[in-house]
Amino acid sequence: MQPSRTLLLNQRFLLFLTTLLVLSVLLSTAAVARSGGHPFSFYAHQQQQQPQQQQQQTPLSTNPNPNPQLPPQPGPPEYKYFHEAGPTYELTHYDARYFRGPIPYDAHRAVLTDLIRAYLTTFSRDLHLETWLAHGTLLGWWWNGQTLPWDYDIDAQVSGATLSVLADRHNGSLHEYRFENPTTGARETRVYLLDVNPFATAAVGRGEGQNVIDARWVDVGTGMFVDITGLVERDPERRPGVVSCKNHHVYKSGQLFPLRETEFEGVAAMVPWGFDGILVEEYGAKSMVVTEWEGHRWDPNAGEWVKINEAKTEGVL
Amino acid sequence: MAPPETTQLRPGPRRRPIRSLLFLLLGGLVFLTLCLFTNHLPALQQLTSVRPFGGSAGKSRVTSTGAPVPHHQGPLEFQQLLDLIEQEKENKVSKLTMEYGTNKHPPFKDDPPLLVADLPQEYIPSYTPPSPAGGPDGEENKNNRKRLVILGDVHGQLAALKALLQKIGFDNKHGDHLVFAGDMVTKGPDSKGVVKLAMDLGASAVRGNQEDKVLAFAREIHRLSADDESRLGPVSDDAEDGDGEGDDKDGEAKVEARRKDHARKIARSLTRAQLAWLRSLPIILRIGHIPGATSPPWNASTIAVIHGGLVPDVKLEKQDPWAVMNMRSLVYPSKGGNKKGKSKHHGRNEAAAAADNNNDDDDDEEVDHQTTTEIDNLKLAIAVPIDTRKGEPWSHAWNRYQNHLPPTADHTTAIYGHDAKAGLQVNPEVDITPYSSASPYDYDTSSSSSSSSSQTTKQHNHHKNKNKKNKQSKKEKGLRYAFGLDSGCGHDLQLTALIIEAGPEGVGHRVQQVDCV
Repeated sequence: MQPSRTLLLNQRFLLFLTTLLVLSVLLSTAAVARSGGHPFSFYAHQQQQQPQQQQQQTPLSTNPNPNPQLPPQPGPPEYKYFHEAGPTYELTHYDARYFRGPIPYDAHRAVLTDLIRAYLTTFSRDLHLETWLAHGTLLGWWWNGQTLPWDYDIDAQVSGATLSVLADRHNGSLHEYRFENPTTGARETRVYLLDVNPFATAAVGRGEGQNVIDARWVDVGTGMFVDITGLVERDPERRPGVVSCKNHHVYKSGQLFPLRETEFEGVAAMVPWGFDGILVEEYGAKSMVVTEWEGHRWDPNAGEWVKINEAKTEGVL
Repeated sequence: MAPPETTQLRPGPRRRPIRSLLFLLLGGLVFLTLCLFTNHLPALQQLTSVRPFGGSAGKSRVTSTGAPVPHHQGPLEFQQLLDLIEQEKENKVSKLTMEYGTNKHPPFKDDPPLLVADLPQEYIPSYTPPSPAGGPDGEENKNNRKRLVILGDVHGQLAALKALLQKIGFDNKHGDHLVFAGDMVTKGPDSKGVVKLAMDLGASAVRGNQEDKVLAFAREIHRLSADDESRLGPVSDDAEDGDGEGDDKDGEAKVEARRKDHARKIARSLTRAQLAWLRSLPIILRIGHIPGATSPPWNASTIAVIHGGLVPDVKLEKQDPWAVMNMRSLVYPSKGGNKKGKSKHHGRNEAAAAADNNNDDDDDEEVDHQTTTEIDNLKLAIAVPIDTRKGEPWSHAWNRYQNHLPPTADHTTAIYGHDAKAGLQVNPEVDITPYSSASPYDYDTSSSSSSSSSQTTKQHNHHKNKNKKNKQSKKEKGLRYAFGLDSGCGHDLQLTALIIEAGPEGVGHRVQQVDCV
């Protein structure tokens, strides 16, 4: 009876196979969902879900752990809050919600200039909050008071207390910035969103590394942003006066304060007290003297970083 | 019909390949499920080394090397990867072009009106022989001699300051002129008194890092009082930066906590006029050539008073203000790449700084090692000033540079403070052997615990090429062109004055000290 045996064999096997398949799919979905991932979703799809989900979360977004000395309250399972437009180096510098296409090299500096000008003027004039330049932006300030041409985002830092105020009172706020277009002379307006990460609590460590950026100042027209990280004293007992961000950049508060008033991209800005030591520690002494980097050459007479393989005098802003 | 057999079926030969195929399929499915599963469990991610996309790709890297720093690899692999990256970068760095001093960061609101100010001519030390008739009151000493008295860091020790001035018979109505090398304020009991005395005596001064700090605090106070939503500062915002001793362990934090609020309190206590005076002080005080000076170092074409230091081979006007107020040592990023590092900005006399050839880098076999003693025009390695002591003490580089200049070239003598740990540095003979990170540097023996600190930092470097270079063991001696006057008055040690005076024999100097209690 060969045919019936075959049939039976096939049926059992098929049944077994199907059960296994279904079970494994169920199990993996459950596991993934439990750990906070989003199975079967793509980024565009995700973004639409995010805002609604955020509202329903526990009120961490409105009151990031006010007392850093308390143990962190168990919050919702952490998920990556800020989403970039894509995985490539270029696309990681755009916010996925407002990304409208990559901006070419020649145009990106104008966007960044307006971005940082709006950020600094809003913080000082409207919000009355202190913020200072950090990381790559600080290095750009050191060289010539402008963003480095190969940078596609801006880095700024705030104190933990300032971050709390941002979360309490200014989270999700939109700000208009009016300026004069340098080439056309027309008056233009750009709108920026101040978005605070709900996982920007003072006491949470780096965790899975998904939420090391505490807040973002996003250009809603292009998706470029300022990364804002908060510096908090994480261990007042054993390491007093030592502050750090969630990405493990550690400073003594004496290295940061008092802040120095200076300028950046033509507007008033602040840099840390020990900016030189901070730059040397982060980027090495060479970062202050190397005159060719990232396809650009430093022109000491013009005080500009000029892209190599281009005409000698590139018209910069 | 016989019922179909229900016994164990043995698959025929034809079934075997299909069955094994099915098993294979099953296995594959299970494996995929496992992957999906572990992908989202952090503990197991180390095995699969998948990195969630979009995490901030290492803010500590200015550039992107194309590969974002992996966050979730095993620690050992990660470390090896880092080492590889660092090594590659080192090799690349030594071939890069470098230039120091061409950056142009925007000014600070507290910048002084002048980076370099000239000492008024009337204060430059001079000597006029007494008239044959003799002075009317026998005061010919004071009438005919103009002395320049340069003080190290006073740090608010008013009593010691007064004692020292009395000890040297300071009299600014009869030709003496006082110059402060910065750091008149903070640490000691009466900063305000010191400032007041300085202003009353019409003293010259240069801005030190403590003055800079007090001014910044004054501005901060003003800034925060203007806003309603004011100070949202950090938790403990007045721990000082330790004056370069901050590269010690965190135990220092407690010491710093004792000095909490100090600079800020002083900023609050000073009057507007005093703050304005502090703000008006230059970073560099240039004393021109002293007439009648015949022997070095006082016959130099320029004498500069600064607080921290100067970078050799860079014009005074091009020095970085922060560096001049804060530097203690120099690091050389182009180690081993001496000949490739170009010094473009000033194309005149270059002193030998073959130091970097002695480094433990085997890459520069091609560099001629005998050139140190032969040629004096090897290109100077690019130096970056830092406020810690990790590099070569800037005064050593300065002395070496000045000593290697041709005798007819313009020399500059520097008088500075700031480095209390090194202490008083006035011995006329100095060690100017080329710098190598492998050999510990000796500070002047007149200071206390400095050499031990420099040695411990150098112990970590390997001494691969030490035997090859005989001249490393031979010390080169030279004349001192950098005088360090911070003898630790801020730490209750001594206050030092360097008195430059002109006499019939020429121009010389004396050193006087008092205890700061």
